[in-house]
Amino acid sequence: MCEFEQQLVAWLDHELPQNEAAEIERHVKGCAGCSKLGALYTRTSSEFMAYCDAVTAVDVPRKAHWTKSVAQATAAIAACVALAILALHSHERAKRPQAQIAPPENVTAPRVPVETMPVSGAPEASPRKRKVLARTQRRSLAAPSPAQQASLIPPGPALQVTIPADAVLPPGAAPAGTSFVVDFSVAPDGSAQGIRVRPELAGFERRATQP
Amino acid sequence: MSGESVPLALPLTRLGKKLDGASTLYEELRKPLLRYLVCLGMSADEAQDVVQDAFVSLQRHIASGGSQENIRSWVFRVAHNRARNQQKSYHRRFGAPLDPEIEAIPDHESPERAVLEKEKYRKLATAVRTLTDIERECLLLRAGGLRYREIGEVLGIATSSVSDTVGRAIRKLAEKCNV
Repeated sequence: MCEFEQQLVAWLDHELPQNEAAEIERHVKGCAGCSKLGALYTRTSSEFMAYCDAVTAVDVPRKAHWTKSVAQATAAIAACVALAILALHSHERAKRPQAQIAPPENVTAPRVPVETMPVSGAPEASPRKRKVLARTQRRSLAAPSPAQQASLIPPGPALQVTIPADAVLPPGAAPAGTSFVVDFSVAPDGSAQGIRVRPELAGFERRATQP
Repeated sequence: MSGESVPLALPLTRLGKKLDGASTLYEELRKPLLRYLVCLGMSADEAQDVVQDAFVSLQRHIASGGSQENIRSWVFRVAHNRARNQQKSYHRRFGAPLDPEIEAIPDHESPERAVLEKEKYRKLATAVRTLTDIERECLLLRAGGLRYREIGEVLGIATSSVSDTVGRAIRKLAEKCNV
């Protein structure tokens, strides 16, 4: 074994004082064994660095992974809820007879052209007043407002959709038997209202009262 | 007093420049620090938390007028000590086998090369496990770009000891891996 072998790594790392480094450099040029060892240690250092990089690159941050899973799950649940609402809404419309929209109570007269409308006992209205009157009458003769329409159609039932966690999360991301329960109701205009999502674990029941 | 500009803004400017230096250091040292901590055996989440804590400490250190000499080894030392404290609190041994991670190393090249690469890493992982804690830490800090003197400051050992330890570790790896 060469006397300089122990210092080869420090020499390769440029950690030796200048005079010692120069001496080892002269020696390595003339010693085949030390030259070969120098190359070996250089290769080993490079392989070790590559190994560290590979290991570090593999370890995906679990928080980001979870965040991605939660975002995917939320999007999937929202999509399932939307599909369920659409399916239910079309099913309900097919079952229910078409609601007759009754005209508002305060309009009884048939539509009469504004210009010929009698004005009894009152002085003749100014052109501007007549226009306002006509606008008001036209409005009252028009189709009922959405609020009026809403009051004529009964509200939809409360619904519950259960989605197994395995359907929306990667395998193993949630304990076995976990599912998401979505409670919502369908508004008359077809939109979902009061959406509540809660996780449910099979084998466990929510306590009804405080212990 | 003469018509000089009010010096009130100066400390803030100096502080701003110092904190700019901290963010530059963050960009430079973040990846080597993460690599060091992950290869020591921490998960990526824990390593990121430790790195963030280290740089928050650095900003406080700079803001309070602390010395900026050997700042790289200062940051590594803070991260190293925090990692050690976490290890003690969780009763986990650093340097746990990294074999499971090797299987997850993505195959960038042809299947034959990928198999050879993974076999090489498996040998390295086995060889790394035979190193002592101090040998592994010296090698990892050296891989992070620290000089021997800086490694000595982080680990609290003399520079000559670092030189002997690094040399011994590399010889062990070279012998076991037949690189």
